[in-house]
Amino acid sequence: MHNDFAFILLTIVFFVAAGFLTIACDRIIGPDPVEELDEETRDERLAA
Amino acid sequence: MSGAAWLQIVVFVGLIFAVTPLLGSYMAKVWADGKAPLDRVFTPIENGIYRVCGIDPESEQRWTTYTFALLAFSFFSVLFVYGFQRLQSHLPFNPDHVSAVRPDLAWNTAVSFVTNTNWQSYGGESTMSHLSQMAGLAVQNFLSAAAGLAVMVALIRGLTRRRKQTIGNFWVDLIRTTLRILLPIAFVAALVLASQGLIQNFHGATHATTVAGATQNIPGGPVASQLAIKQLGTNGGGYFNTNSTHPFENPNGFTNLIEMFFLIMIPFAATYALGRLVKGKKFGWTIFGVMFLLMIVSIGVAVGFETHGNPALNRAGVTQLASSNQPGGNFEGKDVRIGSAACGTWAGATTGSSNGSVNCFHDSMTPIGGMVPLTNILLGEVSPGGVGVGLTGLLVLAILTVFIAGLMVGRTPEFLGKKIQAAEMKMVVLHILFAPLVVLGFAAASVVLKTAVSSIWNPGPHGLSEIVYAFGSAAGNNGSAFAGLTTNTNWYNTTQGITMLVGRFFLIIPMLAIAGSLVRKQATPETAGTFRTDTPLFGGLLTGIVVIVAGLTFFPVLALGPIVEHLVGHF
Repeated sequence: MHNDFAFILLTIVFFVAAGFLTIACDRIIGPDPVEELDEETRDERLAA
Repeated sequence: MSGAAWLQIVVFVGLIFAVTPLLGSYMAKVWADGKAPLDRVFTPIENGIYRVCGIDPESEQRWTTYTFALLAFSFFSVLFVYGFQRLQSHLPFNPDHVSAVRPDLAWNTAVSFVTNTNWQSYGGESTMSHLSQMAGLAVQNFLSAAAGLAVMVALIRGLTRRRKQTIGNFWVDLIRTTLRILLPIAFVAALVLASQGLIQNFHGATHATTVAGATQNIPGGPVASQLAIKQLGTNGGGYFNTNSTHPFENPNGFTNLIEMFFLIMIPFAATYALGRLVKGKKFGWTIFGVMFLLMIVSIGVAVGFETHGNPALNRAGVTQLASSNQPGGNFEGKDVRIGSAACGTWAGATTGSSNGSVNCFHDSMTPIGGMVPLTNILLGEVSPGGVGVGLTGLLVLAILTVFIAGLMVGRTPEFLGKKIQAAEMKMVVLHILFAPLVVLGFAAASVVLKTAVSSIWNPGPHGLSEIVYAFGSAAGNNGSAFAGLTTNTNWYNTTQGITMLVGRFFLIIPMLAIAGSLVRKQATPETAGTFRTDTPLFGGLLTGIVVIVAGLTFFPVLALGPIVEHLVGHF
């Protein structure tokens, strides 16, 4: 029974870590550079 | 090498070239927006599933939501398969009254099937009930393969869409891929295999008395249906302990050929689908060419060394030439029905495609013959790779290739019209680093830790190859075993489980991040200075990158394992 608990816990820990990795990767790729611009510059960039 | 062996290779290659455009074209239509073949049949079924599961098929997901959906689905799948095995003694379809699977083994097996690895530290016929095999393992054979293909489609959308935020809907991709691609082909494949003698029943073992008076248990079970998806989904987990060397899994030369073809059929067809979806058929064929070249070279080396035989036996005056009495070559660990050439072909195809099935024992191959499957696995299994993830892995390396080419000429690299910048390169590096980290880390620990050393049966270079193979197979989600190593222990079941999870999800997450980053970008018009990705030059460069990346990472361990064994054994 405790082994069951240990392996379920290990599964939870791994998938939580995978969730954190996803968030970390999202931070690394950062926000959309065009979306971050003010409206006028964004329109200019998109038109270009 | 016999004429039959040559014929098998020629027909195998012919089938690849014939089916790739047909199946690839169908797959592209399934994943593209708009109408797809057999909509009238599949759309009502899909809509029913969406309604029951509360899925809005029109709602698209950002890459993070797509990834969280995949992670959540996989998390519950692990718990479900684990529970099945732990409770199987209380569940129906257990005619042989097998008991609950031990926790560490049940966890290893659950992770193994959910990650599309199918590493098996158990003998199916003595450990699993029919229900665990069918509802636990075979279902994951479908779903893990479909999840891999979903990731591939998401990355392709990242490459083809312009100035969007979303890369599709994971649940829709999973359901459409399962229903429209995997299930119909698996159904036909199961019928073909059953017609050739693979068993398909719900019987328990039949107890027979041999002519010599010994008692023999002849197993039963729904084998043909599981075998079909085992090969098509590049899963590889056998119904029986001896996998495709068992006559109920692989009874004759035809099944050997067709099972081998089933396992590379979808990965090769995916390259054609890629070409259609990115509107660059030549690019699809270039990727196909790289995969095909790597596969053929690996098959050639493995077949060459295995059919050449063991020089020590030649020196002892034992003939190893093909004749009416024997298929010839290095015959240890091989079945007379299958022979050395088919062993080498199968080993090259399965380990290039993340399918862990075996039709001979890799541990008994010659050192360089055995190095072929090990190298294929360490190359990242991109020849042609597992369903979905193999092509995705090669596309990540293609991004690295254009980056390196860009550095050579001082231009910002572009890939299929998208600029490759720092964010994508960081994801590529993460993707490349995670697998070696767990493979070499756990292999190193297994060589020195007392608890792990007791599993080693063969000390010296061969033992090192076995250990590296075990973790390489787990990280590459291949699942084949070199064997000769006791892996059904707490240490191996747990560390390999972690390795499989890292090898699957920690590689998929950066891939999807690349998709999420690229999907937001505007297309850059092609100019005279753009490095084209649909030429033999790019194919050659990509092949070099595949070999160099893996070579730089793993050559030292290969030198200490199979290469030393080859030199010391005077092969």
